[in-house]
Amino acid sequence: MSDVFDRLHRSLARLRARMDAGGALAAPELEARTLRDRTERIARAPLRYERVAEAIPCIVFERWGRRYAVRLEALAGVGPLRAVAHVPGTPEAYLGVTDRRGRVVAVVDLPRLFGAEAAPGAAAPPAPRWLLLAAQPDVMAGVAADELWDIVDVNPSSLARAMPTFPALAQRHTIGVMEDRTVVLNLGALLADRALRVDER
Amino acid sequence: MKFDDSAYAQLCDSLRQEAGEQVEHIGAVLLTLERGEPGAPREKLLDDAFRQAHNLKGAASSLAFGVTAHLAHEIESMLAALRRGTIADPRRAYDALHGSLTAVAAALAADPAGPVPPVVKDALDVLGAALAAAGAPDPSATPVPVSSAGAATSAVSKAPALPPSQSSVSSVSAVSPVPGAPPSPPAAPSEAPRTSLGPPGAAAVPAAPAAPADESLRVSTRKLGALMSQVGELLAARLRTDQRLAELRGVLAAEQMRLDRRAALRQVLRDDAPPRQDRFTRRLGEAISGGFDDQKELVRRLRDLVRAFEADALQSTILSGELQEDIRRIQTFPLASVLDPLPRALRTLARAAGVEVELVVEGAELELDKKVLDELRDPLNHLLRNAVDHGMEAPARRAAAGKPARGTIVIRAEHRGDSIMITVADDGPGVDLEGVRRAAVARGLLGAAQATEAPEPRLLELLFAPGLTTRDEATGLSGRGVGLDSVRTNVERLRGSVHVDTRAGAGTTFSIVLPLTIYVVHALIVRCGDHTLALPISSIQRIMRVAPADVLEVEGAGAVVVDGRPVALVRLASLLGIAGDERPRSERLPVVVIGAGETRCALAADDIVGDQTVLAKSLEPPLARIRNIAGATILGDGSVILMLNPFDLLRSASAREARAAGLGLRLGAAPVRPRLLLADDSYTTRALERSVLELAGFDVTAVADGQEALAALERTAFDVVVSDVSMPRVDGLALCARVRAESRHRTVPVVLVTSLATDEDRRRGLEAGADAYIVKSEFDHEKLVHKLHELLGR
Repeated sequence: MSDVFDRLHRSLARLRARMDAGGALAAPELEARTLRDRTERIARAPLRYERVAEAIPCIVFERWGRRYAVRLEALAGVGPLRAVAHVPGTPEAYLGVTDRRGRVVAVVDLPRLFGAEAAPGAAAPPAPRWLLLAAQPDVMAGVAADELWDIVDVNPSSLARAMPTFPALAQRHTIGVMEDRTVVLNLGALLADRALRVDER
Repeated sequence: MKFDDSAYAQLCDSLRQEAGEQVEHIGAVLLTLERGEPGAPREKLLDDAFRQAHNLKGAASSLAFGVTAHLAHEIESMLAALRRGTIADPRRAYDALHGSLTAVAAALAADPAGPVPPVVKDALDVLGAALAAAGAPDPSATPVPVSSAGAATSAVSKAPALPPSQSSVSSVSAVSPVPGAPPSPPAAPSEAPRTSLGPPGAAAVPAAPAAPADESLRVSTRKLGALMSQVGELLAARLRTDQRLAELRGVLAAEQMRLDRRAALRQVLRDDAPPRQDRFTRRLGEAISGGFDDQKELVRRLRDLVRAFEADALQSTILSGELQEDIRRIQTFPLASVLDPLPRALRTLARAAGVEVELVVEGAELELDKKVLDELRDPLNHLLRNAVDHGMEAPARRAAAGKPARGTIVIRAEHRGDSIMITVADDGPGVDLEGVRRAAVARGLLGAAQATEAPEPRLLELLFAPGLTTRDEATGLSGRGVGLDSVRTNVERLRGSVHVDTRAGAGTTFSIVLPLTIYVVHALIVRCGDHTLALPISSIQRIMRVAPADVLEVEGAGAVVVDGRPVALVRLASLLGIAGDERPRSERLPVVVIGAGETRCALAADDIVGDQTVLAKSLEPPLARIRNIAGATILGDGSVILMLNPFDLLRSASAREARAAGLGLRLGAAPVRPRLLLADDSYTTRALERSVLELAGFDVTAVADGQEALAALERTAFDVVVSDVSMPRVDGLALCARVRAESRHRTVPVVLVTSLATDEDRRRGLEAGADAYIVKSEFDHEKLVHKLHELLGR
């Protein structure tokens, strides 16, 4: 192991000496090729952001370190999440209810819905800052998010299928998985799923 | 103006809606005429009905609804004959008219240009025969007043481009009454092209200008719902304004206090300062006095601002309240819109069943969400049909039973906090429980032995089972076993419940309880741990503070004495499964006693915050129904607090206490609780047993001795009797013997609970007819409740 570090130190010392002398870091032709390749990489839009005919505009958000994306058209609105009232007797996946334009909206925690649990001794997940309200006509619910990342056009053909290790509910409503592990969900169908319904008649 | 498919469809919808109202109106008038009720003179009523029929004919003609127009014309003719007084058999005429009104819906469904539906043809035949018997002139020749709409309007075929004067919405809506207009001569055929069945001249006579009518606009309920949501936000914003005002008052109070302190200091300096002030004192005086006037001015302006703010807030409160009320009125309709057609339906049903019935409607003015009303229509019709077919004896049989020959059905609607209760009660023979037993066995719902032993509540519950009917054959009214099943399905779709209560020989009552989706409620706000919760004041019987020493222990569970009776005490936090405050054991607990009927429960909260009138809303799917939670409300600061459901809390408390005491108690599991008569001359024993038995789900009537028990048995049918033995006047043994001797009560189980513990006592008790004998020294509630359930087959 010490040999490796010795070689690394020697290599870095050579590079520093060259830089101090104002010289190029590599042979001129190699440096030009490196720069050209880098420019091409920067110029090339990631595959998932390519605008294709069937591209789905999605909003990417994060909750509890997990990234999700949902179609923009599946949303009735996105806004700050304030004052969530916990509802006793509901499953853990329900953080509670909140007010959105005078209506009482159920707030769903996606990671918990998909079975995530805090590690023993680990701190509880932070209070979410955002609410993505579903535009599903027969449910009044939204999902919580810690961060909103981006709005992207997702090319369905570039998505991987839901993994067999996903819980059944997630598998049913996953449109696909992006290369950066973002899970693209069919939010309306997910929130309207009977498994989420609490009906204690 | 182009008369396209969409416009035509809208006009057809308008026609159908208007026709429905006209039919109901005519029907109501006919019922009034038929009953000979005092009020408007007969002729005026007939004119009124005639105008409605005429308007229907005109509107139908103008949209090429020839079948409907023809039917309306025949109705007009019959009404004209009634007006002339040429009808020899008015009852036959009324029958024919009611039948025709019923057929209007079928005619509207079939039109335009379709064949005459059989039901309409039958109605026309009956009307024609009745008219012929009355010697009425050819209906087609009957002069009728016709409105301006029909004046120049030929029958409209679908999607033609019409001249503006003939195609606008107003051309149809202008088919309005022409009070007092003289009959006009029929138009020439060439001026009035007819529909296939349209009466000659029906749409071709110029008329006096129609009176201006209120303009109406159709708005989707979704849009109204969105508007109501925004009003909810406005209400929340207004409440926030109240909070800002309170904060501003706080600032004013603080400034006023500072000013007062400064003034006091100035006073001290002025009064107590030495005549010769040193430099420091002088500078201190200047510092205190400096800016004093500015501060005074600031306080004055703040006070003005607060007053202006208060006036604005008041104005805003009034306006937003009015706006909310107006929109609620738009969203809601009186229950009368569903109940009004029922008398006519009842008449038809009663005639078909050969019984005489009077319908009494109470609470028709209550307003409900239109969606709820639409869903209620069918259940109420079913219950009415059921009441006539099963709940009404023939007049002779009623007379023999000492009842008035004419039966009574009462439909009553009343608000109950966050819900509405609608009852349909008849004074008929009551549910045929033996018939239910037979039907349940025939349908395979119960075994023969189970059916024999099944208690009344279980049998009544079976009435709602799909396919169960006590009729051997289906009649026009019932007998297919789908009615009550569909009633329950419809009511549950509205997140409501329905149950039935019956008394042999006295009648049957169906009760529908529906939650209200949006309602204003006065609520008590309480705190449990981090949760702020609201409880409808209407459900609260008492608010008190209870010292730990006042908490009793009954069968391992807590209780407090309220009005001389022990009431189960439960911590609200633990009932809801949330974390409450850790309190010192010596601290007095804020307790809220809630109750429904005779069932009560004391809930210990961590704090009582205050009371407030709030706009509560039910939760929506996916949180469709959550135990203990009725809905939520949004406070002025934007926070959401949950509205508790007192009925659920009572059930949960019962279940929890039952679990805690290991008694397996059940409360509210069955819609109807078994009626239990409790006789004991010891007040304490009576109160304790009553409390335990109520928690176990019994509807307890407690009396002090055997004589009172016998009187209670005379008045009410009980499912079970629990009695002490040693009592004044009539003791438990005599009570038991009398119960066994009376044929009406012979099958009612009797349990003796006594301190007489010898074998001889036990033998005497059982010989007197007791079903169980429990000695108080060995007494435990579990054993009693278990025995009672066993005796009742629960």
